[in-house]
Amino acid sequence: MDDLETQLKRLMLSGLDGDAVAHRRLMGLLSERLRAYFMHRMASAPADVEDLVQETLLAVHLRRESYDRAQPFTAWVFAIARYKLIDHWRRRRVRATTPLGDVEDFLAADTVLPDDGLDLTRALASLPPRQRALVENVKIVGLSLSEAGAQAGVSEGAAKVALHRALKRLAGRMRHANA
Amino acid sequence: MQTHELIEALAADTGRVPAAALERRLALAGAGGAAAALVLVLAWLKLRPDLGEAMGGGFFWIKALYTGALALAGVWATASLARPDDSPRAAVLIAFALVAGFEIVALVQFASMDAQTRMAALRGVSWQVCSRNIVILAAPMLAMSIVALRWMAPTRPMAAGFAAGAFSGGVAATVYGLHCPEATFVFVGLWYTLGVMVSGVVGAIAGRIALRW
Repeated sequence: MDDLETQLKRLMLSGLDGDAVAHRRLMGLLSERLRAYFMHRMASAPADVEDLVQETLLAVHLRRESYDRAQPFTAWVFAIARYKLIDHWRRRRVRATTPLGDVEDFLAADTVLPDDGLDLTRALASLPPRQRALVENVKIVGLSLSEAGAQAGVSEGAAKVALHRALKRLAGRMRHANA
Repeated sequence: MQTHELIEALAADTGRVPAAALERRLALAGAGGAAAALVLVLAWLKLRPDLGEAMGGGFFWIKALYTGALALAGVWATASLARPDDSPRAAVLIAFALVAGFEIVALVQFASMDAQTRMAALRGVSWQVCSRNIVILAAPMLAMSIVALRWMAPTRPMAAGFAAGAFSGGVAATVYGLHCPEATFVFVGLWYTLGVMVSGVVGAIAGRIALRW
């Protein structure tokens, strides 16, 4: 358990310093943890699990600044996951029948295989064409930001800003997808 | 869209986050908000004519110390509420202690007055506009603080908004002291405190709208 905290925190700290490889690895590990945690608590709506995983990953990514480097990382992530789960229940008017658990449950849950996220697909389709193309180029084609920017006819800096904006918009759209 | 695809997009967006990013954003909102309040005082309300003389006296500084301390408790609470895994308890306790301490002194002063002086102290020369002016002076800073919080992860959006409002109200009330000539514990304890509280309530409403995620 301590190993996971140490490992995740190290990746988070590198990511905060701008290391994209560490950040990708962190998001990958977190997606497994989140999927397992939500799966246990959303037995009545398993189809929503992946949507919530993706929404939470977006929130963790976009709100990285709220992490205090001096504090445990898993407690911070778990607080965000819990908030997202409660918010999901509230929006779907599901009464909480499963306990929220604590950070130990979050760390210990079994891993599960991912599904497709339908909400995110829909949210992506609703983005303005240029933003959508940018996200698709970096996510599917695997282009670097400068390559994707060049394809869209903008500088790497402009592509960076546009991608960040697109992700913020995705997060907002997802939350309103089933409000 | 699959999660591993999303992760690619997130990795491409890995930016550097400076140390103490939250503190920086709140400090920036505080400095920008204080400057905006100062401009409003200079251009709209005007400095009190006897400012130089007042700064030589004690009460000018007591007033500034009270509202400044409220601002500090407010920013501490805001910072705690901006982090999902933190608790604002300590900051809230200190804010309560500050207000309670000041109100006790105000009550003692009030009790020592005769009926006519009491009325004069409660109304001062500006009771009708004092709280309102503080709320107006706090508005630009409140907007800046809410924008700063939109980068954070407040799991209690209304409470975070209230704290940001109290932070802004505390800074605004301190700047407002450059204009306002009132000089009794009774007046400040009532109308200044009310102005900071109302700023907090405005912040809570703004938080409910703008800080959910």
